[in-house]
Amino acid sequence: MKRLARLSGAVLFAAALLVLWQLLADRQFISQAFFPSPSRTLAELWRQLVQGDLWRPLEATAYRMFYGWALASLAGVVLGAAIGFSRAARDYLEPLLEFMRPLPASAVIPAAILFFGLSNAMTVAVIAFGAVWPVLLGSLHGFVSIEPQLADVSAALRLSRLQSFVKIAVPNALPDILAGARVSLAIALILAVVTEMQASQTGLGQNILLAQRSFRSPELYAGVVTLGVMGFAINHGIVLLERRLLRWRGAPA
Amino acid sequence: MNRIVLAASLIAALAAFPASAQQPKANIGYIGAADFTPLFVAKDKGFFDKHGLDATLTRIQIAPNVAPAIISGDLQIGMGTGPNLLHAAEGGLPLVAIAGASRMKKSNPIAGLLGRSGLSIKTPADLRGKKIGSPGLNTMLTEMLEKWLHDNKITRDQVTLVEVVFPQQRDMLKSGNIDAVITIEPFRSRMLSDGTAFTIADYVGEVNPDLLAVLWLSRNDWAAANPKAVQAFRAAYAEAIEWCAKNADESKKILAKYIGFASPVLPDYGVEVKLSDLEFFERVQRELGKLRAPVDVSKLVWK
Repeated sequence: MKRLARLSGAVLFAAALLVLWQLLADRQFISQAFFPSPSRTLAELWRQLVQGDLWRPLEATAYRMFYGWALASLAGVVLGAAIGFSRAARDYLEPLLEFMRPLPASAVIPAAILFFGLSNAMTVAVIAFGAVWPVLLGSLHGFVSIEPQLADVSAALRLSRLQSFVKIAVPNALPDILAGARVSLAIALILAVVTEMQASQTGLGQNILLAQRSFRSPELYAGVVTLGVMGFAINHGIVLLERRLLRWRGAPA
Repeated sequence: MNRIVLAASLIAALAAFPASAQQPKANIGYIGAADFTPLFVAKDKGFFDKHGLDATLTRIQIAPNVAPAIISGDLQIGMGTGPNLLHAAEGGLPLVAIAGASRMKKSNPIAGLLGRSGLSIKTPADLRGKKIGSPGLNTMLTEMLEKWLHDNKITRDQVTLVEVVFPQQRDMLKSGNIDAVITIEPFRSRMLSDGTAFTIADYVGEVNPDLLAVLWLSRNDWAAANPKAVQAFRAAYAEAIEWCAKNADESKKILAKYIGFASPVLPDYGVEVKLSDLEFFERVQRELGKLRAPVDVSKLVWK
C-alpha cells in the first residue's frame, strides 16, 4: 500500500511537470523553434515509432553502451581485485589511475580514432575508458574493506587464498561492485551519445545533433525523451539484478 | 556619496543622449573563412561608418550556433547558407536573407571532392562502399555532394559519410580512416600540393555553376524595424567587394589579420540574393527528402 502511494506520487509529479511544460510551450514562453510542446514532441516520437525510424539508432546506441559498459565492468573488477589484493599492484597502479581518472573521456576521442579508426571499436574503447572509474573504485573498496571478523573466520577455517577469495572477498565486494556498475552504466549511456555526436557514428546522439542543426526541435526532444526512457529502463533492470544477486543478504532495510 | 551618484547619472544621461541620435548598431556574426573578406574590409576601411552603420564584428566558433544567436538577439546580422535558411524556415525561425556574401563558380572552384592518393576513383560509381569525410552533415557542402551522388545514381546508403573537421582531414586521409573528403580552400590546395590527395570532382560546379555559397541573415522583425541599417549594410558591403577586386593583395592581408591564416584562392563575392538562388536549394532539399513540406522562398529574401 505504501509503495503504491509512493508510486502514484511520482507519477502525479511527472504529470504535473508535463502539464507545466505544455503550458509554457503554448504561451510561447520560449520560441517553439527551440522549445516544442510535449504534444509535438510525443507526436514526433510516435511518428518515429510507427515509421520505424527509431529502431536503428536506438539499437546502435544500446549496443555501443552495453559493450562499453561490459568492458568497463570487466576491467574495473579485475583491476579493483588486483589492486585490492596486491600491495605491489597498488603501488604501481594507484598514482597512474588517479592521474587518469579526471581526464574527460571526450578528450581521448581524437587519439582513439587514430588507434581504432572511425569504428564501433573506437566508441566502445572510449566509453569503457570513461565508465570504468565507478566500478573500479567500487570493487577496490569492496575487496579492501573485508570485515576483520570474516578474515578471522577465513583464517580459522584454514581457507586457501583462492577459497578465501571466492567465498569471502567476492561476496563481500559484490554490493560495491554492483553499485559502481550502476553508476558506470549511466556514464556509458552519456558517453555513447557524446561519441556519436563527436565521431559521427549512427545512433540517437547523432540524430539529436542533426535535428539540432536543422532546427527540428520536436525531433531533438524526441531523442532526449528516448534517452531518458532508456536510462530509466536500464537503471531499473540493474536494480532488479542487484536484488536477485544479493538475495542472500536478506531484504534491504 | 549621493552627489557622486547624481554626477555619475548626469554624465551617463549626457553620454546616452547623443548615442540615441547616432547611427543604428549591429553586432555581426561570422566564422573564420575566406568568404568574409569584404566584411573585414568594410570594417577595416571604415565603409560601415561611412554608410551609417555602427558595426561590431563577432567571431562565432561554429556555424550552427549563428542562427540561434540571431534569434536570441545577441547578433543582429549573421552568416548562414541557403540550406541553413530553409531548415530554419521549416523549423519556424523568423529569419530572412538580407544580403549575399559569397558565390561558388565553376570557373573558380574553391571546394571539391578529393580522394586518397593510391586509390582508383575515376567515376562517381567507384565511390560505392567508400567512406567520405564531410565537414558537417546536413550542411551546404554535404547536401550538394548528396545531390551530386543522387544525380550520378548513387544512393545515400551506398556511401558512408562521417564528419571530419577541415584541419583533421589530411591526417584522416593519410591514415586511411577515410577514402575521400569534401574540402575547401586553403585545405584543398594543401592536400593536393603535398600529394595526399587528388581531385575526384569539382562537384559543386557540376551541381550548380553559379551557387550562392554564403549569405547574411537577420531576424524578420529586426530588418523591418531597421530598414536603414539593412540598406547601410548592403551599401557598405557592395563598396567593400569593389575595393577587394581592386586591392587583391591588401584584402588578403586584411583577411589574414582577422582569421589568422591566408588563403591562396579567394571565392567570388556578391551582395545580391536572387530568388532563383534559394529556389535551387529548395528544389534540391525536397528532392533529397531534407524538407518535409515545400517552403515559400519569396518570404525568405528581404526586399
